[in-house]
Amino acid sequence: MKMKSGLYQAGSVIAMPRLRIGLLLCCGFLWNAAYAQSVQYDVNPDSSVRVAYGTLSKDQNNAAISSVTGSELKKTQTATLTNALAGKLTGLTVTNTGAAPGFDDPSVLIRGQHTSLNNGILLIVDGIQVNSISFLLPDEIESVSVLKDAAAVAMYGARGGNGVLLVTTKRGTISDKPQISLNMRYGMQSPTQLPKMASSYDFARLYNEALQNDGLSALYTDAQLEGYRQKKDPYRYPDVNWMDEILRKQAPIQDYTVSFNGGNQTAKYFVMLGFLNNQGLYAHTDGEHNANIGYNQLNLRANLDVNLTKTLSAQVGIGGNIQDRKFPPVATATFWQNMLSYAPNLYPATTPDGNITGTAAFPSNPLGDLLKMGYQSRHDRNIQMNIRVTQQLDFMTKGLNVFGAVLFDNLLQNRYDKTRTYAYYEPIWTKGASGQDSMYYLQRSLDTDLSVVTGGDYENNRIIFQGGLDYGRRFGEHELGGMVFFQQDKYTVLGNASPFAMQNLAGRLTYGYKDKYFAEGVFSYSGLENYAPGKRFGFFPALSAGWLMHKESFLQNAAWINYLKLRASAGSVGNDKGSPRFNYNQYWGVASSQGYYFGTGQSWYNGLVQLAMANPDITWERAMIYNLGVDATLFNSRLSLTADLFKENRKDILVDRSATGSALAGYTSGRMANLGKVNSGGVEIAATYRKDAGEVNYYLGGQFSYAHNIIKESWETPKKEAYSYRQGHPTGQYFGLEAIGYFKDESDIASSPLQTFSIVAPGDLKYKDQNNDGIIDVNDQIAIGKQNYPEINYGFQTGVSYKNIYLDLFFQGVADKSVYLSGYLFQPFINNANILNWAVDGHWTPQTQATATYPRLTTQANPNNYQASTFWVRNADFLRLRNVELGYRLPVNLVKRVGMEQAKIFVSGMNLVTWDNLAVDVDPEMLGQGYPVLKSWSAGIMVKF
Amino acid sequence: MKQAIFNKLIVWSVACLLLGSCNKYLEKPESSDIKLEDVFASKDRTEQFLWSVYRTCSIFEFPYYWASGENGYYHYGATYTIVAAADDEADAYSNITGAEAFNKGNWSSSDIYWYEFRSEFCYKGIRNANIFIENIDKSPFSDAEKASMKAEAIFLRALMHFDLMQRLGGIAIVDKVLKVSGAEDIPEVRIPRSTYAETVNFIVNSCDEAAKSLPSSYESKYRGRIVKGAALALKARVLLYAASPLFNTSQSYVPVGDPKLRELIGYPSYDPNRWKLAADASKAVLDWAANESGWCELYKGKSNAVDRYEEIFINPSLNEIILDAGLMGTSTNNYFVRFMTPGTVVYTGSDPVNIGVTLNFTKFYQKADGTDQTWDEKEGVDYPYAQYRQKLKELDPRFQASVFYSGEEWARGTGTVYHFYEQHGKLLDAYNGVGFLRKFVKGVSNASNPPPKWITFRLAEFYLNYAEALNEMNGDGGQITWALNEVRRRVGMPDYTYTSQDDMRMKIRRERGVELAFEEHRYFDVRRWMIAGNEGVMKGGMYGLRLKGGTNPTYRLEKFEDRVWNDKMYLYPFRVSEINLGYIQQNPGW
Repeated sequence: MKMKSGLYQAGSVIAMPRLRIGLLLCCGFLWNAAYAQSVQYDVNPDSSVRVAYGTLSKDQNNAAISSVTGSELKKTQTATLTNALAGKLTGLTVTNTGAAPGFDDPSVLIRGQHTSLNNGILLIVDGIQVNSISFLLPDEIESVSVLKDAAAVAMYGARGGNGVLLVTTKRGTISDKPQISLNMRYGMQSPTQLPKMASSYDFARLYNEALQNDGLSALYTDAQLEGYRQKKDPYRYPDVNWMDEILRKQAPIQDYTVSFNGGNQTAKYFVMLGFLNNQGLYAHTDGEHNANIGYNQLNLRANLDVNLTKTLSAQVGIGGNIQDRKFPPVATATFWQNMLSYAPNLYPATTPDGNITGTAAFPSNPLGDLLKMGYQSRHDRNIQMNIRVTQQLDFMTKGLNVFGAVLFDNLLQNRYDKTRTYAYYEPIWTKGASGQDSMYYLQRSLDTDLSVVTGGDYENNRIIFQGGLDYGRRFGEHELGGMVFFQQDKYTVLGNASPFAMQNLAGRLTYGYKDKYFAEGVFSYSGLENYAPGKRFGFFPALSAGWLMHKESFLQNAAWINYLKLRASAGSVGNDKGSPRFNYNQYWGVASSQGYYFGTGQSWYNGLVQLAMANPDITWERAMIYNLGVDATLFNSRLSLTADLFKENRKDILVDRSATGSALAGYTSGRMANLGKVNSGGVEIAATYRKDAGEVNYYLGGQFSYAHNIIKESWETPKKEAYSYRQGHPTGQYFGLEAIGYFKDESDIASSPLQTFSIVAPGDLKYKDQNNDGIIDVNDQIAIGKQNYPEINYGFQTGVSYKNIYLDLFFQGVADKSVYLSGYLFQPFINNANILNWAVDGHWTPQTQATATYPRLTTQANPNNYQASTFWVRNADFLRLRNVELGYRLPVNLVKRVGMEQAKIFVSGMNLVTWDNLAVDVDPEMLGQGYPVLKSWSAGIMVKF
Repeated sequence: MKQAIFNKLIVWSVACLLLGSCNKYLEKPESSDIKLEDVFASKDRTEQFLWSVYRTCSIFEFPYYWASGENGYYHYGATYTIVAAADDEADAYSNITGAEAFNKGNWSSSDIYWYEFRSEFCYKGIRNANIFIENIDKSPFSDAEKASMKAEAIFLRALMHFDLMQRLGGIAIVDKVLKVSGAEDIPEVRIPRSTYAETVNFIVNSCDEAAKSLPSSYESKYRGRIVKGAALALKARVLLYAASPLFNTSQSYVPVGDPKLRELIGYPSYDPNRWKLAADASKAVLDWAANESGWCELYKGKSNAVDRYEEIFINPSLNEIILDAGLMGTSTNNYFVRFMTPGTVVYTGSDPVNIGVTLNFTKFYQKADGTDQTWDEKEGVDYPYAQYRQKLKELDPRFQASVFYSGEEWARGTGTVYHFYEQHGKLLDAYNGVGFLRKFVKGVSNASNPPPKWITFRLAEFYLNYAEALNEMNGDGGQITWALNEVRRRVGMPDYTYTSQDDMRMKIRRERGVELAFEEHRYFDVRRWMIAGNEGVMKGGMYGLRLKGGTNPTYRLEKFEDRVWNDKMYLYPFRVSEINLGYIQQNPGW
């Protein structure tokens, strides 16, 4: 356990299950809130809500949408916008995948998982679908919204079913004079946690122990062990901590933006220029021909709104960015694996002359790979544009407009690599003539000249045409609004002859009565290129209703209720992700693996096979989503509250029917059919209490999301035991054996069920015989732990300000998630891999068997111990102190004197503390393997003119 | 003006969508995709498709393993070992094998596919064959070439039906490409089982049809393609099986009330003429080899009988072989050495499977002089090691070539290897039986030796088939002994003379066991002869000779296993997943 503090306790209580806790959490806030005052946290930036293809007022909107402002996201200094979203928005799961500069792209789920296939969400920036939002800077963002229910996503047709993340960039506002903002930030990043690996002495000593356990003779003599223990001769008895050799303590990150904003009745503009520099953790990389991993990004955003005539207006948006990445020419995962798993006594990091060491078996000395191999670089050029023209048609009927738009997005990427191989030197020990040990270095491989590789060009292109009508008018107590439009969207990837295409006829109709009752219907009639003619188009409708209760007479006397709205929606959505391309056509292909030998010379003849079985009926997943929500503002608008309850029934999930279909057809794999079903449901609550008055202000808020799903139909291969089926469990549920301890001795083994994976010895993991057949095998695997993504996401924040000083704290956590500890870090000595201190301290020996926390050591693959089991599948709940910011706003009268409107300086920290339940010293998200999750300290200045 | 433009835009857009005037927006552009019509428009592709039919319709790999599991294409083997380890021939020491399930008797319709046999792979091959048969006429080959190639596919389709039939009895005959809609198996896919008689007839008719158009030989680069002899051979084997006691009887192996089911598992009554059909068909193979093939004969090379017999299984192009498949050459497959070779010799990893040859089976081998060896060892008594060596050394050359017992060399000049069980204690020397399997794997010296080719038909079988069928129809004793002695003479074993039908039956069965040992014959022979349930065959005590090292090495008789048999096991069950679809009737007892 990491930190035996009060906070830890709080963390684990929160990490405990389910809804009950969510309610507790929120009640807690409410209660605490009585003493609190609030300043800064914006749940809802203004009274308008960004919805699919438009904007509605908060009163009009009945859909489940949570959103956050760009300025809120600014509080986390991370090179990747997605990282800043974690914990801030209800319904959103953000999972770190390693913070390597330029390659940090966390995975995102909306309302957990909905399907056993592909849970990818739709990302939209200013109306255009993009592959990533990582390249955006918070200063160009007005808001990020999560569209969750059917009413929110139905207009996206078969692409929106897994939820939509909608990013809206800032636009100009009318002002007397141009507003200029300057932001500067500089931070230092370091890993949240690095695995602690054994020293040479521990490694060698335990390697011997492992060999002994395997019935093999020791590799290291007592004299060698003594040498490693004393550490007097670093060349004879090296003790290399590769991480110390490679990594620096801290890596800088900096970002700067300047933006201009202004306008009048005729034209408004917003322009931002931004620069981000994020450097990696690798040290000694200042040489000409090597590279730290690093990332530079230049952003431009220019949004223009112009009234061309009295009735004709245009909106123009340009967003562009340049992304330059430079990195050592070795895969990051491999590089980290070598750094972590190369044994400390393998060889000294360099020879006394500073040459790179290495052996035939372990040639990839991490220091050599970093410093001697040259570098690779990637250069991305990305531009997005949108032009939209709107003509009022009041002369036809009042409130009617016609609009047309063209949007496009283009990414061009190319490579420039300068690489070479390098000579490395193997220390060879021999006996001299006098019997004295002597050593020389044997050169292996050669230093070659740098060779340049360019190209690897990649380009993609999306073009959207849009045109339609919108209408909005009030007739007394009736308010009517609507839009209908047609859109064509084509996405082409260079080198792929078959673009992704969509045609969408979509619309929205809203009706309000007495400003109290609101109804809305939305639809999409849309087609995708991926399905058979006649199966391409689908209809996706959703209906919703809202009731502003606080306007009812029976609540007029409840003065503590400032705003109270009930919402409900239901609708049908689709998800096409995971559909194999053009599966409606049957294709055939030459298969080099499916041929035959003929002839006395046994020559190989290639075969030709039927490829994936075509399914002319293949279609997208369909889901019905039901949502109930409430929005409230209470106690003089100090407390705002939003809660949603949802249920989703998804069907038509593609499953491979071959496992359960008739064998007679003769098709053994790839018979995809829309037969799977997953049901999901959950709850989301967000609450903020704020009070802005006097010199001391407080705010307190929290977000809690819970989403749970169950596979209802999965069409699995028949299994021997009923409990082996994934059906009935959530998607991503871990399955494995139930570890019930370690074998005590041979008699314990003899009297236990036979474990069939490999020969077992005392100290090996002992498993429960679930089906009591006397044999432990795959049929004893049961559902263990949770699934590989969290069911609960939460965040809570508090802030206090006194005069011009403020302090913000933000915590983010997940719960109901498991991780599977596997791979090189957890399986020491295989291929001479180093061992974690966790296993050094806790491994089983006959003496320590009562307290052992790791099985006996072995140098073998040991399939028995490394089976997925409750030993390796662990609770991955965690709570991070995601953000701390301490700032000072310079007094207005002071800054005005130098021509500024506002100025503030601040220091902030990210991921400063993490509490988890892993009981292993690795970060709960990356598990110590690969580029780590980072924490940082930053300082910055913000000035407005 | 502007309004007009926008109106146009809207009208155009909506019209576009509704009238489909620009529906090609969603069409897939031209590409280099291959569709069915493209396959059979080209000679090269047509041939390539035929090679895939070969691949999926043959026992392509040495059948010890079905490798890629769910996604594999290997048909057989008792999961990590050969099926001989699941009858009285051998035993796999490691408990990871499928043979273990058979020997313990704990296999069922829900897990049979883990242990030996995956019918879906047969039907995959059958599907490919049917596609080929239905489309070959569209190809640009000459009529004669088309006929010959179609005959190859017809044969391969029949071979897969036989593979199903020998395990399951009457099966669903699939003689056309079944349309599979992704969402539902349309009714035509759910073909019920044919009767046993219909299945036999289908295979026999296929063989007859194929034999008409198949050549007797190919140019050397195509050695290994289906020759006419293969079609005759399959017909002979099918008819021999069909005439055998398991199927050719009025008495089913377990009581069956349902007359429909009765016809699925065999003929409802005995007909002696079936033996005649079998005898004629076997003779046809021998006649084809002698008179028509121009090349096919019993292998009689090498001066020494041990080497001669061994050569058949490690030489990729002997004239005795009518059909084989796979590669003997240079690929790498570490699993093969783990599963097939002795753990002491080639394989260095953990948990070798270690196939041991049982004492039960060793007793079938006569001494080289044609008399029986004395096997009078008692349990619990230690005998001198030298006696173990002497007794085994005296046996039939085919034993010497097939079994690697203690004190022998693995390959000539590589040094004597001992297999003392108790001296070392560790698993490496642990095996059940009298020694390790050597047949097939003699040539394997390191982990990069691939499996040998797998022989589906070799000529020796048909002498034995002929002798058996002739004896059962009480035919000419001279012919019976001629056929038997042809096989015996080749390895220098003394001739038999005719005695009586019953005595000859025992001799024929014994000879068949010895000659075709470990070649996936006995596993099915003990079933069709209905002797699997006899003590010491697939049921009851299995014995070995366990060696103890030291200054005075000894051996002792050891019962290493009591095997479990139930008569329902004479036929396999259909997979429960197929049964659950409702169109297949399960075999009795499952």
